[in-house]
Amino acid sequence: MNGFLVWLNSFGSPEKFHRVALRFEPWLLGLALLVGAVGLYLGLVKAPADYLQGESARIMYIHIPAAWMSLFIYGFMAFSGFCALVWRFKVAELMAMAAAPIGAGFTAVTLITGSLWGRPTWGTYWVWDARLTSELVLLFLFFGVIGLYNAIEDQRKGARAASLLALIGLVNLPIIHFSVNWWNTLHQGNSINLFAGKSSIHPSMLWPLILMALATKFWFGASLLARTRIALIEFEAGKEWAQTALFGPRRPEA
Amino acid sequence: MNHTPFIIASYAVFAAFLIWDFLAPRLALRRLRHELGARAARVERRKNR
Repeated sequence: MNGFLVWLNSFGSPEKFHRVALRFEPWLLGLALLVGAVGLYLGLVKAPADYLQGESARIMYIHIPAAWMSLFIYGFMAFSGFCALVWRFKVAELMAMAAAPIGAGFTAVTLITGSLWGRPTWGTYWVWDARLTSELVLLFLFFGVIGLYNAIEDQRKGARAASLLALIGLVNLPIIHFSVNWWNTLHQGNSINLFAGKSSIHPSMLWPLILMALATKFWFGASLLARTRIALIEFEAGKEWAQTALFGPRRPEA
Repeated sequence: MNHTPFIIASYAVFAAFLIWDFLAPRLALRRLRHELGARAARVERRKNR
C-alpha cells in the first residue's frame, strides 16, 4: 500500500503529470484509432448478421463498448474522487472532474444507440425497463457531478463535493449490471462473460466487440490525459511551467 | 423493416461524440491561450502608460 501511495504521489506534481501526459496522449489516440478501425472493419464487414435480429445487431459494436465505458468511467471517477477526498491529490481531483463529461458522453451514446437498436428489435425506442432506467440514472449522476463541480466557486471544494456525490452514486453500478438478472426486463441478459469464459456469442462477433472495447479504453485514456492536462494548466496558469506549456519559451511579457 | 437508417444513425451519433470529445479540450486550450495572452498584453499596456 505504501509503495502504491508513493507511486501515486509521484504524479501529484502537476508539471510532471503534464510532461508524462503529453508523451502518452498521441500514442493512446493512435492505438484507439488503429484498434477501432480493425474492430469496425471486422464488425461491419466480416462478422455475419445476427440470425434473429438481422443487420441491426451491428449496432452492438458501438452500443456494448459504450455501455461498458459508461460503467468503467464512473468507477474510475469515483476512485479518483476517493483519492482526492482521502489524500487531497490535486491531480486526482482534476482527473475525476475531467472524466465526468467523457463518461456522460459514453452514457448518452449508450442510451441513444440502444434506443435506435430497440426500435427495429423490440418495436419501441424506449421502455421503463430496469436496465434502461438505471443507465438513465447513471447519465443523471454524471450530470449531477458536472453540475455540482461547476456550481461551487472554489474549484477544489467543488471537486471534493462532486467526488462525494460520485462515491454515493457507486451504488448504481451493481444495479445496472445485475438489473437483467434481478428483474424481468425487456433488455436481454448478459451474453458475454470474458472472465468466466461462458460467452454465448460467436467468436466472429466477439472479437470485433473486444477490439472496440479496447479502442474505447485507449480513447478514454487519451481524452482524459488531454482534459486533465489542460485543467492543470488553467489551474496553475500563473506558474512558470504552465506559461511555458501554453506559450512555449517565447511567452508574452507580463 | 429496413435496418440501415438505424445503423447509420447509431454510428453517426458515435462519430459525433468522438469528434466533440476530441475537439473540446483543444478548443479549451485555444481559449485559455487567448485569454491569458490578452491578460498579459493588458498588464503590459498598463505598465507602459
